[in-house]
Amino acid sequence: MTTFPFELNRRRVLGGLAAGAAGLALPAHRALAQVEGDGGRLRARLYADISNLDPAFWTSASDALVIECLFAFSMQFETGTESFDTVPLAFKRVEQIDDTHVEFELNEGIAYSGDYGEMTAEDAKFSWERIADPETKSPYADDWAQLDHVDVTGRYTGTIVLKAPFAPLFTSTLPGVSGVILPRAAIEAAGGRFSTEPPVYSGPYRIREWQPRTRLVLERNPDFTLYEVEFDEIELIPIEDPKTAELGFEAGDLDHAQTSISSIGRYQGSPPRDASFDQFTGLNYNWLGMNEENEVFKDQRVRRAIQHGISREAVVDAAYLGSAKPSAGIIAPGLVGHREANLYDHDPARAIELLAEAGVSGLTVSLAIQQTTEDLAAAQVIQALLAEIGVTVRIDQYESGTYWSLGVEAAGDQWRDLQLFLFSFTMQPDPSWATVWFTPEQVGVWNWQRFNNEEFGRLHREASAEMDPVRRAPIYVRMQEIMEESGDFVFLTFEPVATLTAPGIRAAMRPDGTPILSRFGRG
Amino acid sequence: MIGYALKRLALSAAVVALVVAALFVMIYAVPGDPVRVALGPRASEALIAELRERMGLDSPIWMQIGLFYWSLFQGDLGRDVISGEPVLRIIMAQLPDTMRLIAGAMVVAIVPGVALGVLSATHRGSLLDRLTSLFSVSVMAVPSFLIAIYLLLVFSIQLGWFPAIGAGRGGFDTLWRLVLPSLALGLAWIGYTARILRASVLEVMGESHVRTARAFGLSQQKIMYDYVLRIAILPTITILGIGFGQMLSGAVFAEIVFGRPGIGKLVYDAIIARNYPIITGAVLVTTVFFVLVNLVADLLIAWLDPRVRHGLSS
Repeated sequence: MTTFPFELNRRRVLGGLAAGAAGLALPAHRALAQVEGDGGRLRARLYADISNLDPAFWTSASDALVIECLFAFSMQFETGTESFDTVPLAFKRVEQIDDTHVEFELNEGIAYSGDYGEMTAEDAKFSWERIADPETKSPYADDWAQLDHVDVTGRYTGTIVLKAPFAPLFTSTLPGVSGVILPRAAIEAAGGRFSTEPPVYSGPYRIREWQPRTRLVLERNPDFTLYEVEFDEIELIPIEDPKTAELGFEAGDLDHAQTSISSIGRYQGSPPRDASFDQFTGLNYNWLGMNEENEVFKDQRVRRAIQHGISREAVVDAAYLGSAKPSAGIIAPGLVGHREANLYDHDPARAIELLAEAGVSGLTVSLAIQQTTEDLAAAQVIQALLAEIGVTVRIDQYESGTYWSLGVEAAGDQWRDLQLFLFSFTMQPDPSWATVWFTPEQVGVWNWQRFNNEEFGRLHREASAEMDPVRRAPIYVRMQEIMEESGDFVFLTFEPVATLTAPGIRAAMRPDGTPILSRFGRG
Repeated sequence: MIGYALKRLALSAAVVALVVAALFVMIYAVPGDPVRVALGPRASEALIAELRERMGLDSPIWMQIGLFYWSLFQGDLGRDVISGEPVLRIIMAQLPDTMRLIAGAMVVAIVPGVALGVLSATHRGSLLDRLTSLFSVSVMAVPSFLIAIYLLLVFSIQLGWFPAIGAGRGGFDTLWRLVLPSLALGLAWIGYTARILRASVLEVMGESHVRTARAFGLSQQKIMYDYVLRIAILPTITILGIGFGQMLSGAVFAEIVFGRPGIGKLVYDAIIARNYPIITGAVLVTTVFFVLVNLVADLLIAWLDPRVRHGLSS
């Protein structure tokens, strides 16, 4: 019989188990202190790490969230409202003189960090013309597409001169990142552009520490006076996976996080840690598209049969587990041009009639989707529904990189084989950013339906130039009607957005569920 | 011994070169336009063309591989297409977190694994041996990501003992946040280590030099440490060298589930975004590490095992 220095016997095992049980019985203490005891720090999730904070070159929603903390926007979206209302921020006053002239006056004493002095109208001219200038090669040049030039009329005053009326100026350009004003000297000192190290700050916070892909810590900017900020620090943790963020929130590591869609039902009933659970209708619009130039779908009656064959309620319920409502278009609630009712709804009998009229039987089609839980659930319901009208659906799943080239002509001839596809776009809060992708110019680029309607293109241009929201709304409603009449679209939903906020924290959210972190407070 | 080491080093360099070439061919065979993925829908055709040129995607693949090797000799792995940051700097910023995670997982695998393996072998056929076998097979059978999720649910959310996400701010905070991911990544390897060591110890204990040592009346402890473990540990070193590679790939799930930074997550995100410079750079660095670890393991075995040493010298 061999012996060993550490002898294991029943007594030791029982002792160990008893010690373990005693440990489990100890009161739990949270690994990280709550914000109340944490020196006024707000800890929130970022969807991805920052990659570019230059207003002319930002790349993601995460960049935009951080930019809003670092620079004083010209205007800012109000929080806690149902529609996208804006308030002047760097602007003291902004006024539309006529269709192509907008006068503005900046607040005095908006300080830049370093030796860059205060914000002036010259800075505004430089910043906006920089984005509009083709030489800059900014992906956001379209935000200033109609800018002719900016006239500086005083130290703090100026006039935006447009080539043509441009409605998105007040709804998405000036309240967005493209409206940010930076000093020429700072940009030039940075070599004309910057990425993750801003050469200057003018917003409520500035970067104190950035550990790439680990954390970004912002600290209060003492020179910012446009509004009161309540937190000394904001710690932003990049977490791509919403499930990980949920666990982080439940463990007390985060004060604010967006949840996954699949968890909405669970948190609605009982949010963890006495948290506030809030649900919003996002700007992301989802639809089922049909490639009208594919042999199978050239006959509009076949496309219409597909429209009638699909119960949007059933598809949306399955994909979003009851947390989203079917949509009647691509313009979200709260925006000008939101549409309430569809023209072609679920009517299997009519769908079967239409297929018979078109002389189609035993039809088999492919449905291209991305590898997401929501897409797969929606596709399976579509498959079952279309089987009822005699259409067999083959579901083809693609990872995102491959999927995004399926309908692009420049990527090869695969667009010809594209038949049905589930699609989702996000947008800025102006209806023109929803309709722009379906104009004739976009056929083979982002218009994968190859929906080619001259009236639609004309209305898109008209609506972008219409400054009166009351006259603008029916134009967009009509455009969505044209889309549906074409037979190329089955509008599905606007993606729900849900957030968890720790007790003692007051979230400041746009109507689409986008947080404005610098406006968060206590209470 | 030196000749053997040099030969192994040359072989390792060839493996790295081949892996990079194979990787180039594989990632360019994947459909999808990296430029459109990187720039998004609002990019103009001119901008797309410019980035394609900047990424070198307008050259034939053989030229791209050649240019990559040429840059590599100059210590340049290129620039991230999205942020414009040097790839090497991005990778080196992520590497320490992954290495800490793997080191933690190795500790989890080795300390209890070796103890359980030795105890099983010395108490062969006992209840302890059976329980160790059961435990080993169980932890090897359960997927690591499932272990990770349960660890989080129990120790972070229910008990609140450990934080759920992040890599910490240095010192004790970093160590504390390393416990759960290290356990999740290393738990299965306790089983592998214990099973292999048990078999190895039993084999060595039956060898003639151990019987001779017993006949001389040496203590059981001395026999175990000086005569048995020194030989029996060798297969475990080889297995842990391979385990290092497994843990490198396993780091992807651990980094995602625990919201940690690191090379695994960096590569995963880069694949989704078709960020080729990051993919090639990160795979190159991790391949170098994997090859080096296995080289060290082989050299260690050659140094520890007199039979191998004599074989090399003869």
